[in-house]
Amino acid sequence: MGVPYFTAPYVIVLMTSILMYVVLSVSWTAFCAPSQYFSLGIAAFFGVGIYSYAILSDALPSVPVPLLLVMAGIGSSILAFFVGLTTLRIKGMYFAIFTFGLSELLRHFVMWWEVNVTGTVGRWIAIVEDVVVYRYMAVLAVIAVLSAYLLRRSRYGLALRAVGDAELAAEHVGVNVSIVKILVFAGSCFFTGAAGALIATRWTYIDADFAFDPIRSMFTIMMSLFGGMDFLVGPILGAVAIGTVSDVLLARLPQVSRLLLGVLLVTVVLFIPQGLGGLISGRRSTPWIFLLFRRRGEDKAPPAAENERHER
Amino acid sequence: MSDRHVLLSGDNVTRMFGGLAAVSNVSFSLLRGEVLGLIGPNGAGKTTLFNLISGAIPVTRGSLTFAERGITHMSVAQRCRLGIARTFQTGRLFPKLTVRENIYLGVLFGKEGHKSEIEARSKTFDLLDFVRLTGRADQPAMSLTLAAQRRLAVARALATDPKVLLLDEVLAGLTPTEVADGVKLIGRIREMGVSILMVEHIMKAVMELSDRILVLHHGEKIAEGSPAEVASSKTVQDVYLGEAL
Repeated sequence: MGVPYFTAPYVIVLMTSILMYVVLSVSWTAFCAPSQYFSLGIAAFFGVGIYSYAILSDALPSVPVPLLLVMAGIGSSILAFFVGLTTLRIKGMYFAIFTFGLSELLRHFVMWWEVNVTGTVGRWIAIVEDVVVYRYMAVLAVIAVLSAYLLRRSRYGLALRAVGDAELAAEHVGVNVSIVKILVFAGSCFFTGAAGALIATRWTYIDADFAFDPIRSMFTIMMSLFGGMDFLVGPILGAVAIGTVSDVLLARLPQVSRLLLGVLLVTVVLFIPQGLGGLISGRRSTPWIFLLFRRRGEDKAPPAAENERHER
Repeated sequence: MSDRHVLLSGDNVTRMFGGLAAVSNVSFSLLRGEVLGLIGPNGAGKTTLFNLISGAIPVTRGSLTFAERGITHMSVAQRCRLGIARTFQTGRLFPKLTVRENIYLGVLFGKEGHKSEIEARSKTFDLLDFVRLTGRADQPAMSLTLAAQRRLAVARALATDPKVLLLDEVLAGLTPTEVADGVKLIGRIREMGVSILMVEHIMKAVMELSDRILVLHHGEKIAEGSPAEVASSKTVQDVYLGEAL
C-alpha cells in the first residue's frame, strides 16, 4: 500500500474506485451466492451509508472519520436488519424485486424529504484527501475479504449454503434459518454502507440521485457474475477486471462504453457461467448455451449408470 | 400406558386446507423405544401429520406434546433441537453440499450447545460409516443413487441426535434387496434407543418393523393396534379394497 506516495492522482482515484467495488461485490456475494437470495438493492444500502455519514459528520464534527464510517456502516446494517426481518421469508424473484424497489423508494423518499421538509437539495460532505480515502478503502477491502473468508469457513457459512440448497430441510436439522439469514445479510450490508460513506468523502457534494444510483447495484452484480460467485476470489477478480476495463472504455470510447460492457456481460453469462474463478479452478460446468444443442437425455445417463455399479 | 412412557403424543390434531380437513381430530401416542407404523391410502393425511409434528406447517386445532413439553407453538428448529428429526418423502437433501457436509450440518446445529469441531467431525465420521457412505463422503449429495440418498437422509436426521425419528417412505421405490437392507438399518436405529414413527407403503416392511400401527383414511384415524389386529380389521380391509395386508 505504499504505492500512492509516488503514483499519479489518476491511478489513486482509479484504484480507490476498484477497491470500492471489491468491497461491494465481495460483501454482496458473501450473502447472496450461498443463500440464493439475490438482493438488487445494493444502491439502497450504499446510499443509506452515504446519508448516514453526511448527517453524522455534520452533527459530530469532532468524531474521527474511521469511527464515522463504522457508524454509517451500522446505519446500513440496521436498515438491512429490518428489511431482512420483513422480507427474507419471500423467496427468489420477489426478494430481488423488493430490494430493487426499496432502493428506488429510498431515492425518491429522500428527494421528497429534501424538497418538502428540509428545503435543500443534497448535502455537503467535508472532503478527505484522496490518498487517505484510498488507504481507508484498502483497509475496508481487506476486512471485507477476510470476513467473507471466515464466513465461508464457519458453520454459519455452511448453514447459509444449506439454506440456498433446501431451506425447509435446513430448518429440520436445527438451523435457525431466519437468524442466520438476517444476521449475515445485515453484516454484509455494513460493508456496503461503509464503502458508500467513504467514497462520498471524495465527492464533497451528494444528492439522492447520486447516492442511490441503481447503476452501482448493476455494476456490482455484473462484477460478481463475471468473476464467479462460487469462489472467494471471484468477486475480487471481477471488480478488478471490470473496474479497469470500464474505466479504460469510458476514457477511450465514452459513447459505446456501456454498450460494450453489456455485450461482455451477456457473453460471460452464456459462455462462462462460473465466471473467471471457474476458468481458473477448472471447475467448469457446461455453458448452458451448449445445452441447447445437446440431444435430450445425453447429459443424464452416464453418471447414474456409473453410480449404480459402485452401489453393488 | 402411563404418561412417563409416552414420548410423543397428539391430542385431537386437526389441519384444514381451506374447507378440507387434511388431518381431522387425530389423537395418537408414541411410546419410548417404540416403532409406530402409519399407513393409509394416498391422500390419507400421513405426510400432513408428519409436517404438523415436525412443525413445517402449524396445526389448525389440537395440541402436540413431546417429552412432557407442549410443542404445538414451537418452530421447526426448536423441535429439532428438542429431539424430533425427520426425513422427507421427496428427498430434500442439500444437493450441492457433499455427503459429509449434509451430515456435518445436522451434527453442528441439531442439538443445543456448542460442539467442538473435533467432536462434530468424529460423529460425522461414525454416521457415514453407519450408513455405509464413507467412500462417497466428498461427492455432492445429488450424485448419489436413490438408495444411497435415502441412507444419507436417515444419517442426516440421526446427526441431530433425535429421540424420535419420523421416516416418510424411506423404502419407496427401492429394489427388494435394498428394502431388506433398509429394514435392517431401521432395526438397528431402534436398537440405539430411538423411537420411530414411520409412514410406509411397503406392507411387509411395516408389519415386520412396527410394534403398533395407526391407520389414517381421509384425514381420520380409523384403526390402531398391533400389526395382526390391524391386518384383520374389517374397516382397514375395506379401505384398502381387499388389498392383501
